[in-house]
Amino acid sequence: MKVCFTYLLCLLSVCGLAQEPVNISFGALRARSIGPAVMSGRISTVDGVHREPNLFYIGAANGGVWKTRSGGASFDPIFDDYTQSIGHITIDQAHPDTVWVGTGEPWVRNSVSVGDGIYVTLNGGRTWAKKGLELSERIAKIQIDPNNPSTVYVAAQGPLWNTGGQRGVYKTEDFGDTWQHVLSVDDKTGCADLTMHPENPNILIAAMWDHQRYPDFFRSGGAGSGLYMTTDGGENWRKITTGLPSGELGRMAVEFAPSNGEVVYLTVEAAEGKGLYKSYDGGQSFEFVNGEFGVTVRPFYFSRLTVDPTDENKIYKCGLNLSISEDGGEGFRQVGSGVHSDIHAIWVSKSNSDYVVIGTDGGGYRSLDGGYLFEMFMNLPLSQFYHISVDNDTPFNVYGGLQDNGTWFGPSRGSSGMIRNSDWDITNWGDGFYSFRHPTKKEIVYAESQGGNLVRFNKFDGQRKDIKPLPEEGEPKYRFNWNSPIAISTHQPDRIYFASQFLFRSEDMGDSWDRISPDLTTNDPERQRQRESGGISIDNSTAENNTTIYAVCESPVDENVIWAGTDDGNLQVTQNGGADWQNVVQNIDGLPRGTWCSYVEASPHDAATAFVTFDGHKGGDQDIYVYRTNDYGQSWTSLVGDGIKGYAHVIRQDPEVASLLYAGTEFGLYISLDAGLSWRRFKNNLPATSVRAIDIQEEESTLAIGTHGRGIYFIDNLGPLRQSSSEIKDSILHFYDLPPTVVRLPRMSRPFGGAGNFAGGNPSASAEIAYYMKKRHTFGKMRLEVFDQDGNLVKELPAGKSAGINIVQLPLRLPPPKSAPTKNRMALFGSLMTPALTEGEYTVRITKGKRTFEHQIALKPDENSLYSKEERMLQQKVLKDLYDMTEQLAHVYGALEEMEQQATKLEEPTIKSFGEEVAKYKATLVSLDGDFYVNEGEEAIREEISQLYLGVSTYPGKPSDRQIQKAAMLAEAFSEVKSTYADFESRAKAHNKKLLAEGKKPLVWKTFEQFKKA
Amino acid sequence: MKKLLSVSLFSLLVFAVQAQTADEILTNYFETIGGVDAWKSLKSMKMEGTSSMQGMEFPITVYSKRPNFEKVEISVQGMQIVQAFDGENAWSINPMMGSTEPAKATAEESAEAAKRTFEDAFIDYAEKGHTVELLGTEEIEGTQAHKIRLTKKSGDEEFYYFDAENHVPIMMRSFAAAGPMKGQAVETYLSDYEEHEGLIMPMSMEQRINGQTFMQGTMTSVELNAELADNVFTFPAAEQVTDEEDEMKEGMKKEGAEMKEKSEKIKKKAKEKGSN
Repeated sequence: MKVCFTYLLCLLSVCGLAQEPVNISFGALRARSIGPAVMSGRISTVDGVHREPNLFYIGAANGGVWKTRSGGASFDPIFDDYTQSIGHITIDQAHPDTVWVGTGEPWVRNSVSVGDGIYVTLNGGRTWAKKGLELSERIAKIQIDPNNPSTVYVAAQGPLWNTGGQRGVYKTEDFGDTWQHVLSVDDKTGCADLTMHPENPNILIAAMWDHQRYPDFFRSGGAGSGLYMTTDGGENWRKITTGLPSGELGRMAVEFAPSNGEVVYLTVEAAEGKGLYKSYDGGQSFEFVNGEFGVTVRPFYFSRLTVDPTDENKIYKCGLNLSISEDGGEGFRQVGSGVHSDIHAIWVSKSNSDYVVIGTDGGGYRSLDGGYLFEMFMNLPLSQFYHISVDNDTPFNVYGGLQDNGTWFGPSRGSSGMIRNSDWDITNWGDGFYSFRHPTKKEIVYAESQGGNLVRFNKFDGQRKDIKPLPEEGEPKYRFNWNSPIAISTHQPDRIYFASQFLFRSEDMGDSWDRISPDLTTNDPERQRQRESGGISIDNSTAENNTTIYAVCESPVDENVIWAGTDDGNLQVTQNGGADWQNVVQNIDGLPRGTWCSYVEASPHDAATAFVTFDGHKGGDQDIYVYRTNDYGQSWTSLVGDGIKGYAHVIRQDPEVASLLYAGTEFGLYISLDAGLSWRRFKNNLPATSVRAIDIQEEESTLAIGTHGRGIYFIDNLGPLRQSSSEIKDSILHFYDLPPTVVRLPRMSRPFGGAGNFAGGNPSASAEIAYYMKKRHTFGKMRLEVFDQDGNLVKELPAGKSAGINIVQLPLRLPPPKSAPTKNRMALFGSLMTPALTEGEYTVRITKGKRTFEHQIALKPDENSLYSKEERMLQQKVLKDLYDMTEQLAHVYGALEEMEQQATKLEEPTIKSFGEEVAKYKATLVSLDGDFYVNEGEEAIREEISQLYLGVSTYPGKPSDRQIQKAAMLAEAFSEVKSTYADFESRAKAHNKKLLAEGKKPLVWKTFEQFKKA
Repeated sequence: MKKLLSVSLFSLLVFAVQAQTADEILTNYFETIGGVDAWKSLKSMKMEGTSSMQGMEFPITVYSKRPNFEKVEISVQGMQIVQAFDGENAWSINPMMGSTEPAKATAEESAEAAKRTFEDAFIDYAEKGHTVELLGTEEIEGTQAHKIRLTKKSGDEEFYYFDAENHVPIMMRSFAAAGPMKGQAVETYLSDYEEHEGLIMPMSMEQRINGQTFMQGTMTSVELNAELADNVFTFPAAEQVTDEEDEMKEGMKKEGAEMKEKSEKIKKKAKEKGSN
């Protein structure tokens, strides 16, 4: 290991890069989730508690497990520390806090992720224990023996892109501590469905499925497929053939009717005789019932049946649409009502079988009328992006395409204080992939759907122009990938690249195209089988198109340097704008031939430098391949070291700091601060879901992360990462220099939406103070103070104590004024208003034990502010006067109250009557008649000041003339209050002389300073 | 059956091995914080400091006493918020919630409060019926920490993360017992450990839910074995109040009477309307 490390070190030092590893904790640097949940994402499984149907769990294709106790009004992610691809969830209905989660989605489309075994919780998801079956990769079903819950059966579907692994039916009798492999057929066949007899848990029927995927081909069905039954808890299995088609079978769904163990439903994929079958003898034999589209469609994606818990004739079949039969399968109705197509999961409550929850490619829905009308859960941010990009607007927008959910864009900062579902807009339908906004024309957006259908969308009128390159006379057919690469240019705004097996360039936004390469792929006819793909059911959706270009990048340094990577393992580069191409993949040591090139990044720092990722998982190779070249691909260095895992989708180099790299793999985001010597997974609020896309917004120094299952995340400030070099890593405390904080004006929120809608957070509205510490601060005092330019203490804040990066939020609002009591509602609102911290420089001082550390930060106004500096200053001045007046009045009121309370208790009549006089005057300063609501009461000076303060504080520009006049009038009136108070004060002092002379306790009251402190 | 038995024996064995290591960690911890005996002789404590929530700061005073008496006073804009447990009842005064009257908490909340003992749960944990288990090491705030699960006699679980180098807990994860957050993990980060009369204790704590800070407290003074009569903690009844509280109470009574009068008026009016 050491040798290998030294070797890497030498290699990198030759390249003049970072020479020592910088591997620091990300500490308090957090990713911000913005959803979106408006289109949500694929849900693979649902299970609920029968006796409490508002409590159910949703398992997502690549977004973890979510729990609701409120019928979907809110969901909590409860599985974020584990594998995010979920196969099946089963609740032990007798002990509903016991929930089994099998990982690895069983709906094996080309983009499916991978699981790592089975987990169980005994406390409703608070904590989880892993229970083995790590090599199963996909778990299709879990069945618990209701009489003995430590006995559990698992349908292990097995590795998809490979043979072997753990596949078939597994059984545990000791709560998952050990497993017996009770049914296996061969190393290509897994168990796709498993159903247990409702009364006799020793009777189970298993649907075994022979299948495999390849980069260019899919096979569903084969000799291994078949239906098996056990009547002795898995000891012996018998193949069931009576009534079934005689040829090879594909994927099947099988389900006992919960209310009648003699009735079993089955869907069969077969060349002949495909359709719905029914057994009346508990699964011994089956009869063909129905062959309609709804029960035969796309078996690999939809083979799941649910039978109503109380009605053996009501069945739900997953499919392109949800099909429901109420007559035992003779006829089906299709569910409409705006439900997303592609249904994968159904749960019907036993206590109320009209209560139906379904999972689709576009999120989850609930029906309360037995499956007629469905409402969508608008709070599940499971969106599955293939690619994302950012524009340069303020605030910037993010664009991206999703699995079966088109292409969308949304803001990085929502105008209502958060990013809502309603902030997102769609640009194209289908499956969506790359999408870019035109670099200068704000209304132009490029988007595509599967198989190379490229469009140019106009935000202004919402119209799309088809700009897909079409073959010219004499050209071969173009082969476009499912997920074809679009690239834009940093040199020519109207330029766009698109690729089939050829690379195309347009200089006019796609209106016309030049072909600038020969076929850059292997053009291997063996890998062009998509028309026969699918196995028993032909499934030629372009998902298996192969020998295509998959990754394209023009160098930001030299527009003549263009890279192209292919899905069949070529990596090509031109240095003269496409006139000549060189395949440089053979220069990469250790990369298996033919490995899919998933991404290529031309360095923003150097034309000869590029980074590339390869992904062999579709060929059964889940290793990670990440490389760098500094010589146009003549030689390559692997950047894979400790700390990074998962097959690789993307790598990006920071445009400012060359040694800062970001990589996305199937299991998360990884960051290297030392040019790839060492990596760390970024975990702070970012689950281990598939990170498929990364972009960097340069003006805002923001990293945008596109996940295939949990939507989009931002790391809002790259400053700390960019400044974490080897020079600072031994510092006790080192401040990061952040750009001045822009003081943004808040907008009104949109209230009263109730629960049920996702809202993504905006970037912090506070000024951020960031620093690095080598070690966590655990012993002794540590304080953080902020001073203004005059050295006044503005704020004391809790310091961050973490090793690594600390970020402390300095709120840009000062505390509200201390104020006298009132029962007037508007006046109360007024005294709750907080003035803004004004623009300018501030000093941050951290005292850590005996050491102090200082740093300057700055606040600056929004450049796009509509208010001139003079106007803002005037508003601040008027507001400050009213703020001070509020506090002074509060002090006067408080001091008078102290005098009153003490004086009225004394025997001495002159002092007593003085107290009564004080009380009388004090009562004229405030209004206590109101009820904080519709009874506003009479207004006294306290209310007048606060109401004006409220009015002035809500607008950052010049106050109105009347407001200014009113402020002057109030100042005048208040000066009278002050002189009256001064009079009371001197009279009280006179009384005190007397009291002291008599040896009695004098009257005490607070000075303004004491009052402020109290 | 045989299989089951051997499995449970095996897990017992594993547990025994791990518990030993957890005990070593706890031994180091007790040594670091001043020794078990010193902590056992501590009878009561009063701490003062500042707490902050949502960017606002409040003075805070915490009184605590064996076995599980506790009272927290927070001053918000001159108003006193009190939360207390007197060994039997949890109660509170919260003018922000509309009432200056002391109010008893639900039986469930009282039962929860009763579980928060003055003495560190790790001291004599086995005698108390708790169990501990070492679950490995994890990185917390960039620091290697031993993760120990404390399973209380009640069945409640808490996870403690002991700084592997310094032996003190730097984070504790518990789970909200009731309310809309029920089941949510609450993480308490501990720092600014300081010595007071030979005892080492954290003077700063920060609570986070989903990684977001919602409460932070920094203590500035500590009084050990403070004179704290039981009635400091008891649900206020007329005969037990001090002078200061007397005044407060009088004020509250007055307001209470006004409220009563008002509500009676309203009731009367409603009745009149009803009879029309």
